[in-house]
Amino acid sequence: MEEKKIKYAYFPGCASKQVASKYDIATRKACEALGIELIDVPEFGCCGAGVVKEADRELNEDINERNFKVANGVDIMTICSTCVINLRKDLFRLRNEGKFTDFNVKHWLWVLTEDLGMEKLRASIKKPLTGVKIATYYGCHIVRPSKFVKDHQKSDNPYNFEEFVEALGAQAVDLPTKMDCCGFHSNLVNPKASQKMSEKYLKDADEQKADIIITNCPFCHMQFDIFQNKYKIPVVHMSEVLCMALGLQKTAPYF
Amino acid sequence: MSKIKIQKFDPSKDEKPYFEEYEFDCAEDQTVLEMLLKIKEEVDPTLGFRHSCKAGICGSCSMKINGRARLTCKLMAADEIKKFGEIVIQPIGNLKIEKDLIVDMEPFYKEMRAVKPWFDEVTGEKVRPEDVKKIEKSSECIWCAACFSDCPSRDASNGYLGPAASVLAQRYIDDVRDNNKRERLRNLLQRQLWMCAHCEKATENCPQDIEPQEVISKLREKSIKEGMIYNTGARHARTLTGHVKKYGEIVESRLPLGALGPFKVFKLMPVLWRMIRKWQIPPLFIKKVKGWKRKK
Repeated sequence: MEEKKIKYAYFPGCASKQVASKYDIATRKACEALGIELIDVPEFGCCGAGVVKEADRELNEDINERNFKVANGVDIMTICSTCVINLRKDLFRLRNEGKFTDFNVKHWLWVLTEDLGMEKLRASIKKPLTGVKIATYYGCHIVRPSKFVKDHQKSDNPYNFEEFVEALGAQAVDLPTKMDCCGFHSNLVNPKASQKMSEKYLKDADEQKADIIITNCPFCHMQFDIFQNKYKIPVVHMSEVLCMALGLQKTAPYF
Repeated sequence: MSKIKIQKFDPSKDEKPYFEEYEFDCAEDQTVLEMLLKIKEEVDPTLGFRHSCKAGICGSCSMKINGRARLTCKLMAADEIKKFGEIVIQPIGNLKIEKDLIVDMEPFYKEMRAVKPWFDEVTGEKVRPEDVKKIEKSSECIWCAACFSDCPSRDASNGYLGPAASVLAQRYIDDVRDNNKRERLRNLLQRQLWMCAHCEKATENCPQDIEPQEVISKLREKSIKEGMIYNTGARHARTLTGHVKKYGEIVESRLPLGALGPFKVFKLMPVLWRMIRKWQIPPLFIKKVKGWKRKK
């Protein structure tokens, strides 16, 4: 019997379409190599980013219901943690009203570790990243609030990101601050405080002599890579390291 | 036997906090607080910690368990050991340690008092059942400071009130009897209401399930509705929402200008330079999302 193909409606989110376009490109490349089918839905809009509801709550609810409708019953896969939590908040609300009960929103990391499976991921690695020390930064929205993500992030001491790194043949650097806030959402309001928030993890990663930091959210990446200039440790999207291990690109471009 | 690590500190003789390890056989139905009481009784009588009701009502036994502030009387020790393999107990964060697991709660209470949790002026309106619904959840706060302890925004900026005080403020702002809404909101804005970075730690930690992050979002929405829009946070939210209304998507390149205004935006020049150097440039113009109808 032929195995069922993994198929998702692809929701890159505003950040991955604009600033972090290399995250989007790398994800598409990796999915093609791994046999994950991504359906492009040009009708997908913004998820609300947790900010739209602060100015216009109704609009926030409308846009997400629309996003679920235009997905046409195909489960959504997104590569942004903030999108995951905002879509899921509205999805769970609508599920309570009896709508979209057999519909799901998943993060790219969950698709890799659960749907594709670690065995298959390990088997498709062509150039293992042996000896590279990779610090795994979870950030907030992929693990919190747990009531919206507990079907995939089962424990409050998660290990699936490290498992992903180990599947690539690299060494995972598991830091206690991995679920701290990067401070991105307040970097325009109070840049100094926001920097202070992100420095905690960067300092830890630097002290543990990690070679690179990988992120699963374009906002955390932006905060670590562009908004701060104190620590020179390279920050890379998770899809980029995956592409390197799959042999699709030699290095992550523009460290 | 499982490993229990407890942070100890006696300001009269220790220079800085240190960890002491205990081997302890914890029962399946034992809470972390019960375990601590047993340790104090049988192993280490000098151990200091606060507790009172043992039933999740008084809010005095909050501590950091394995890095997260929790109410120890509501947390099963066996579950934590299953998840982490050990239990690391520290005093709650963002407050000064007095001894071992006891902290000075005064700065927290000071922030709670700063939102004036009393009525100065009343409207004379009667409270109906549907009015209570708006403030029911936030009235349930037990002042345990589990949200305040882990708040990274408070850690980074002392001017920020913190989640618990914001929740307390909402309890009075949404009360129909209160006639001081605008002043309360203005006070909140002065104390950096827009500093919250959506980390959801407060929502995750709250033993009463209050969801402080949602409460803060609603307070921000209220402040915008009241016309308090001349601050970076409100400008940012309004610009972003404007983009979504027009294009169905955020235009990231134009956000800083909308949020910071034409002068302050120059502070972001180094960021722009790094964006160019690392080739992560957001486009200035974007296409409207397919099928998106402009909303008013």
